[in-house]
Amino acid sequence: MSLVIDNVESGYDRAPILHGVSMRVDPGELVAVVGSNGAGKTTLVRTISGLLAVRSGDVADDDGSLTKLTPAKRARRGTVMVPEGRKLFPQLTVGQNIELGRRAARGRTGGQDPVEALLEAFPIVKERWGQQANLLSGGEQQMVALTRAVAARPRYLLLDEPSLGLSPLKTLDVFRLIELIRERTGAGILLVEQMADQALAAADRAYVLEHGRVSMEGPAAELRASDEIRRAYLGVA
Amino acid sequence: MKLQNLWSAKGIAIGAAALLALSGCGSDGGSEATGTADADGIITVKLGVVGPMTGPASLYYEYMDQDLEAFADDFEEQYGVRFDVVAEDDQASPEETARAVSKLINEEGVQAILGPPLSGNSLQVADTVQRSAIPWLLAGPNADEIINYDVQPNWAFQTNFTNQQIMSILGERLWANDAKVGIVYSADGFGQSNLDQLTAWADANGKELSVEETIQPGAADANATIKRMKDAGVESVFMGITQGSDTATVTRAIEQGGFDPATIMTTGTILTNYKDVAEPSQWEKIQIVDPRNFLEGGDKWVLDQVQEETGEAPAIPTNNISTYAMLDIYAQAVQTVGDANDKEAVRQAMEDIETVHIGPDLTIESPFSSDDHKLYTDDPATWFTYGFDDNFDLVNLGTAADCVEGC
Amino acid sequence: MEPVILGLVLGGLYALLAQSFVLTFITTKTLNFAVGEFVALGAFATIAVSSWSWLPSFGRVAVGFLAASVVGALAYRFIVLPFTTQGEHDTRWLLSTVALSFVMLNLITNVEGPSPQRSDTARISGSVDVLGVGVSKQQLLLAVLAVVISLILIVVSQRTSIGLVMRAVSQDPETTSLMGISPRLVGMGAYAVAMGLAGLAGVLYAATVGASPVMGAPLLVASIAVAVIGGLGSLWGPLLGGALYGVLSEVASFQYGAIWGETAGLLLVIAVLVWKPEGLLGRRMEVKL
Repeated sequence: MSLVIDNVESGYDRAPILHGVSMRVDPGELVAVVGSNGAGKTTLVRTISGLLAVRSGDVADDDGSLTKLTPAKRARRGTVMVPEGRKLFPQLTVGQNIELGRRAARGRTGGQDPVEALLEAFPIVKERWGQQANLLSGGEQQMVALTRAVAARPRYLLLDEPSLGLSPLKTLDVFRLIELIRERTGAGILLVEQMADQALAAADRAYVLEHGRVSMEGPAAELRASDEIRRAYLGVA
Repeated sequence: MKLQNLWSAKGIAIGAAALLALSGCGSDGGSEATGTADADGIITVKLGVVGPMTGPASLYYEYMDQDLEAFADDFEEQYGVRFDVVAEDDQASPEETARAVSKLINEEGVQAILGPPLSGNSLQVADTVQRSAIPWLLAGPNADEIINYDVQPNWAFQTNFTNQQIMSILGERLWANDAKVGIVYSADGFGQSNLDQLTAWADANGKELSVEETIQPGAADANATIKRMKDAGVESVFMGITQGSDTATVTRAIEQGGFDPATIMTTGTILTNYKDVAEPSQWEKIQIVDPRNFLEGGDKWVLDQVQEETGEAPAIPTNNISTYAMLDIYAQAVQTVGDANDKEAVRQAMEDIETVHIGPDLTIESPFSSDDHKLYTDDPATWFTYGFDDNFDLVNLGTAADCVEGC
Repeated sequence: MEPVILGLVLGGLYALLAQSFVLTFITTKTLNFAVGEFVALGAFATIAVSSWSWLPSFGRVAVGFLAASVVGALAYRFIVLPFTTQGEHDTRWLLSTVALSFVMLNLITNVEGPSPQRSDTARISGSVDVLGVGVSKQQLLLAVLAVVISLILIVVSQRTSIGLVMRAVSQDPETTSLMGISPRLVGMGAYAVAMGLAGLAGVLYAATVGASPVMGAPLLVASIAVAVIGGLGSLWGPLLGGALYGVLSEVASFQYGAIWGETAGLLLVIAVLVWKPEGLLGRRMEVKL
């Protein structure tokens, strides 16, 4: 019972980017993927969500392989992605964006609505409900994007650079929200981040991606403490 | 790898060609169009037929096909001339016509060419055919410009009436009692030729066209056109329109706009594709003129035979008749000369022909001279005026001369 | 007054077809240049079942709509979609839909022959007085239908969840797929409705001019013009574009003759393209890098 990425190769026509990456995300677990620019982090989440085709290897959720499924089908099976740059529908309202998120949860309803809990904790989203999405600030947009993903009732949630372009204060808010999502939904979360320190602080386990390969993996706290990581990603000499 | 594929493909092609040759299925196999008499005294002529075999104008090929199917045996029996037809598709386009005609002349070596049926396309190849010195059987086109009589000997013969002829007949009728005349014509070669010829007749006779309006093929309505005619006080309308369906658009607008001119004349094109998309109230006043008598005699016999032999209605009745007349003229000429390869002699025999037969009991005497290759004349006494009954069946109202003041 | 009324009515026919361009454009960013043949397809499908006396004429019209609709959905899946896979600058669909147009034209001609066939289904003869102007009932029906269908489409797009999905796909198809929505299915749905409308227009238009393989072609230029004037990205666009194009071309025809009618309409297109390339009601497309 976990999201398994097994020896995956993928990339673009002439430029393979991932060279045999293997990872695992368990339900309820927060797994960070850190790495420098161009290491293949975005390629990784796009491959898992189906926006990029797998060239070899396998991506599987609890019910089996996902590699032959369209992005839409993967989302409906519970592997939900929040793309880099949030990608809200700019001319739709906040409420409509979140409604669209619910489309992926068709057939997987029941129990408490996970969105309600988030709205209580972060009322700002509810206050903006009727506003057009492109009028929101970057931080607010990220809140909405995360709420929209939660509306899809994810079993596994893929977050691509959620802190991108946000102030340190807003970044803190976003990490608090991610923590809350894990708590309330029990989803396994794969967090791809350049803010390595914060990501490692929040995560249970972590992978380090270098040139399309996993170079290190282990408990997040251990990695965060290792000299190599501190030099390479945390800016400590 | 690619090279290999190419070679193997070529190999297959060569093999297939060899097989075809062995089995005698090549394009030349079986044909004995020598142009001279065989043992039974039959002369087989290699006749090139060009027309739109495909596409929306295919009716203009079909009428030639129908005539050849219906009357081939008759001509063989009467004149001992058999037609070995080589057909080429001109797709109703000038470029394809040029290609088709040049193929018939240069590659197939035909002994005469029937078609193309559309005036514009015939104009396109007129110089080519004339230069190739080959009898040119123009049974379809109406344009006068196709034949340039300054060039002699002239190889083209026209068995349809020409635009100049019909405009002379129509001119008398339209401007009778000095009526105000308007024309609506299709924005194509046929329509333009109608306009030019009607204007030419008017200029020559001191008359004036009050309104000139075009209709685009397939136009959704003609309300504005009709309104302008009505406002200008037009009393006689002439419709020079290629497609019957466009004619229907105009007559619909006439009815809808409450326009009520004393005279509405059009051409034989209304016989095709009009009836099914119009109403009796819209064709009530329309009349046409034609040198052929569709309702009795030889002209009617041709149409009946086509129906009987092919099981289809004549595709373009006027042209079914003119094609018959043309094949009669050519077959007689070949019989007289005895050798279709002697094209100049055949041409001369056509020019000198004494009696053209249309069916068993209609004849036209000595229609041609060196500067007149037109079967019909513009004498109103030899033309007929037709109206339409509720079923869109033709009603003969009298000769054009009888009907000058209206019928 | 007369050219204005007649222009509005004529604009209705073009607006209905323009709506079909707009529908496919906002959902898939493609245009189907075979729309003219779908017009003919709808008309002939209705004629094919016109002898089924048990089927009321509403049902026969529906057959025309559905036939064009089903073929439209398949055309998107197999003729358009495979030629849009290489990103936003992939315009191979342009050629593939033009090719489809030729293929359908030849198929329909081979089956039905080139001559126009009479269609009595949904045929309404005669004219009716609109503000003192005689208007053909058949054309009026088409115009009213164009307005009603446009309004229905607008309400659906603004008020329903299908409309929400449609707008989402039009703004960002990739992200829409992350919401568990298949842009391919939405595209097929849009093509089904759009080509169905073309077929419907064909059925009603054929009742006046007869059904023939080439009946749609002359309408194509005008309806693309209408769609461009109004804006390919707006469902209101065809109504405004149709009204402007229809009135302008009819006024010009009345004043200067039929030959100027179409010219005036196309001059308007050029003016719009210069002044507001996205169309009068269109939104400027943001260039994505």
